[in-house]
Amino acid sequence: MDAAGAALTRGRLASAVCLGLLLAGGGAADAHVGSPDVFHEGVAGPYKVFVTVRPPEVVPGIATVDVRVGEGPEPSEVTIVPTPLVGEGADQAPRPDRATPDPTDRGFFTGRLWIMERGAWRVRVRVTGAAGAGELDVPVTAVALRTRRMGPGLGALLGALVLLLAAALIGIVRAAAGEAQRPPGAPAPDGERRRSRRAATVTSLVSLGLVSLGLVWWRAESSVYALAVYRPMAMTAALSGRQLALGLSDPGREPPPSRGGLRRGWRKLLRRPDDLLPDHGHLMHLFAVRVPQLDAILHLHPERTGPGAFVQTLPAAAPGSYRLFADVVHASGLPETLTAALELPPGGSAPGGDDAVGAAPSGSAGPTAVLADGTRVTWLRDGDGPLPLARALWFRFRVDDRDGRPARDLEPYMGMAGHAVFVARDLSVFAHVHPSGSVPMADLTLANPDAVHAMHAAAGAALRAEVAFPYGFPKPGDYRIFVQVKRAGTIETAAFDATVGPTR
Amino acid sequence: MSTAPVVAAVPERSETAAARSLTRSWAVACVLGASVSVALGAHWDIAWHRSIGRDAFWSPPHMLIYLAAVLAGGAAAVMILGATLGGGRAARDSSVGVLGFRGPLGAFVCAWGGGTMLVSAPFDDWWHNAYGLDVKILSPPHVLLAIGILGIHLGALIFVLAERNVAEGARRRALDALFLGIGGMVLVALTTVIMERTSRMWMHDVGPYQAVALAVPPVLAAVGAAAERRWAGTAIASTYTLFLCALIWVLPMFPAEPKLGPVLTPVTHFIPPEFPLLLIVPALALDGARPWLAGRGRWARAAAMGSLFTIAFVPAQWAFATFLMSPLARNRFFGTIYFDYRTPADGLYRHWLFIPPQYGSIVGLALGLLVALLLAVLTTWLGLAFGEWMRRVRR
Repeated sequence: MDAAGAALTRGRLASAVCLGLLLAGGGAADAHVGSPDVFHEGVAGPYKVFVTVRPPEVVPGIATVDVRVGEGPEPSEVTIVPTPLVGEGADQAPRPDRATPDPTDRGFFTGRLWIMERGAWRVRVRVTGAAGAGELDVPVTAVALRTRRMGPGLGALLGALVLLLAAALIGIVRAAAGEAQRPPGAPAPDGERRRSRRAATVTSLVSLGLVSLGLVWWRAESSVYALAVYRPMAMTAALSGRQLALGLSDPGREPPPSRGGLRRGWRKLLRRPDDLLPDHGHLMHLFAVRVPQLDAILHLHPERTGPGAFVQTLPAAAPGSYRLFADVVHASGLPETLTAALELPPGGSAPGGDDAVGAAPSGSAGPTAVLADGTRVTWLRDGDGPLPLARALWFRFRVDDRDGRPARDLEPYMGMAGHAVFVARDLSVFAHVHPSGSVPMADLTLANPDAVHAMHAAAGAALRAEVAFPYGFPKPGDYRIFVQVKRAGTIETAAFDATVGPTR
Repeated sequence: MSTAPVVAAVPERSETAAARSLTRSWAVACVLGASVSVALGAHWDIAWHRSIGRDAFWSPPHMLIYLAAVLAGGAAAVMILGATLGGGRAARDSSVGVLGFRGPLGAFVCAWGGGTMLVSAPFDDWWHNAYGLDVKILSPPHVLLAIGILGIHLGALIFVLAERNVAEGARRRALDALFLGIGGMVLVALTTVIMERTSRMWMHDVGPYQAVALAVPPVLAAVGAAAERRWAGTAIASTYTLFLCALIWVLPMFPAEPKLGPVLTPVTHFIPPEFPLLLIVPALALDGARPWLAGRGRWARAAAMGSLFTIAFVPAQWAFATFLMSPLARNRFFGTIYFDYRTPADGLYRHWLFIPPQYGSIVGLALGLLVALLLAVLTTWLGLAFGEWMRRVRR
């Protein structure tokens, strides 16, 4: 009874992580849209480490963690442990788990982590080996992405078993009311049959009532869990001339808090419209993608004018229908991508500051994008078939000048060697990725301030003509990849196409 | 009622009785073991969840719970198959028929409990996949499991009582004592189900008293009606109290460390349950009043006993809760120094404070306690009916 029960089956629990099962209607999943997995490269002391975290789809649930220790000193042990990114419990870690080394692949470790509450977490990866020990903190967002309906097979099996139990209960009560009271060997007294039958009838009715009550309770519990399924904040977009006004509000689907903190995870305040943290100096990174062709992209940084209110003067760009994706990070560390639609009229002037506008072919894009100023960006990929599903891949791009020589004038763009955006043609997936991975900078700063400074310093030191981004596709389909780099003060945007197969 | 003439009609009487006595002594040991092991396993498992947090299918407390299912289910299967397939007329004559099988009634109830526990397993597994690994006791699959566990306890109770009811002399007295022991385990099981609702932090509200009115009076009434000792209720309340006190005194001796976050309070050893409810007070009152109530109708007894239970229990527990929140209780004896790893450092519980009550005015309090009293009357009636039936069960 109990948490005992909690457990009868927990050990057998198959990993809840199954990327293909994201509910299409659910829309979003945390920092990006439809793309909950975390890919992050960093250093743990003397070790170069690449970490993939697949968060659970239900919370509490189990996340899977892959750790690859790159070339260099050999690792002997990798441990992983989750703590909240900020707030209560952030400074007290439970006992770390040892990740399991892959017997055939040196330097590759896998592990499973129990994530017990919704919100922003820090997975601390500790690598020990020949060169000593080092740690890397990887921010991970855990939100409930769905509840699940019971399949017909299991439903029928459980229904049949409950019927059997009810039949047995009726039989037991019938015996209890009659035969059981007879001394051994005695014949049935008068009235025993009638008594037994009456008890069986009452038990049938009571069983029916109890099962119905149980079903009502189940439905009520299910609707409470459904309230906890993640929805991004709502965003409205209103255009007045070239002035875009964005309004953020919480859709207010939080389940009611229970007394005494029995559902603590839901009581925790994860977000407000006005608790945003700056990311690369901006509270919001707004991407506008022209639909359905995905042939124009705007990367903008609206200014805050009040609680949950932002404005942006729209630069000149191809008119038409746009889908807006706004990346924000809350003080709790919860990153979100908010979406809205926009009709962009003609007009406007050139973008300024960190803002950028990029154009892309309406049809399919080739392996080399030739931009308006002659800059050539080439996707250095092996082969040209469909890409695998749900596997961490490196996307490498080389930037050449108009003469075909590697560009020597690349600069950091908002502290990064480049920014990449992965958008599914059906808009069900949107991810904004950096060379260090899919974690928003604001979260990396919360987890590991020193490392972020080091990263920025490294980006500013000497930029090579190649830029690479780690990412794994969450679902099969056609995608467009936008890559943004900065050359001598000009932000360049190149577009590429990828098809993701149904297999891993 | 004498059984002698009927039994005498069976020719192989003495062998049958001896064989039955031997087989059933073995089965009595099994169901008693099941009852104790599931009560211990459940509490150990809850302590595990409150200190280590994470577990696996084969964790030691789970093994104890499985052991209970194996003991009770195994004993039940042996008895049912024995009576159904072999055993001859003698076995048939001392058994009942359910769904075409024959066996002692208690064996069927044990088997039903084990079956219900089994059914709850895939349901619970699905629940975790659908809604998340739960951290609370009261969920539909857990309640199904609890009903299964209760089935095992009740099966043990009925089986032992059926044996007692046809035994004589020392064996009868021994079986009556065992019956009280299992009754204590039933009390432990039912108070575990309402544990989330009866934490000391709620004790100055009406909720815990209503929960207790649902769970405890039926056990005290049923055992009191079926047992042959005057202080039966006091005995099972003492068993319950000692069982939980032993957990409070022993569990913290074993080291444990959280393997789940967030860790809001550091934990270095197993976290025991809270100090037992003062059920000993109403139990004493009910046992004391029993001679005066004898011979009255069931509703009259239920009304008197349910009222007496509430009037004895509420003030005692209310005052005791005040004591538990005081510095005097912050020691290893009363155990209010233990907090699980999920206890928020800034929470009322951590600071020995009551949750502000929800009943509103004094009228709300009175009405809430009146509801508790009426519930106690109702559940006492059910307990009396069950207890009187248990006195008559012979197979």
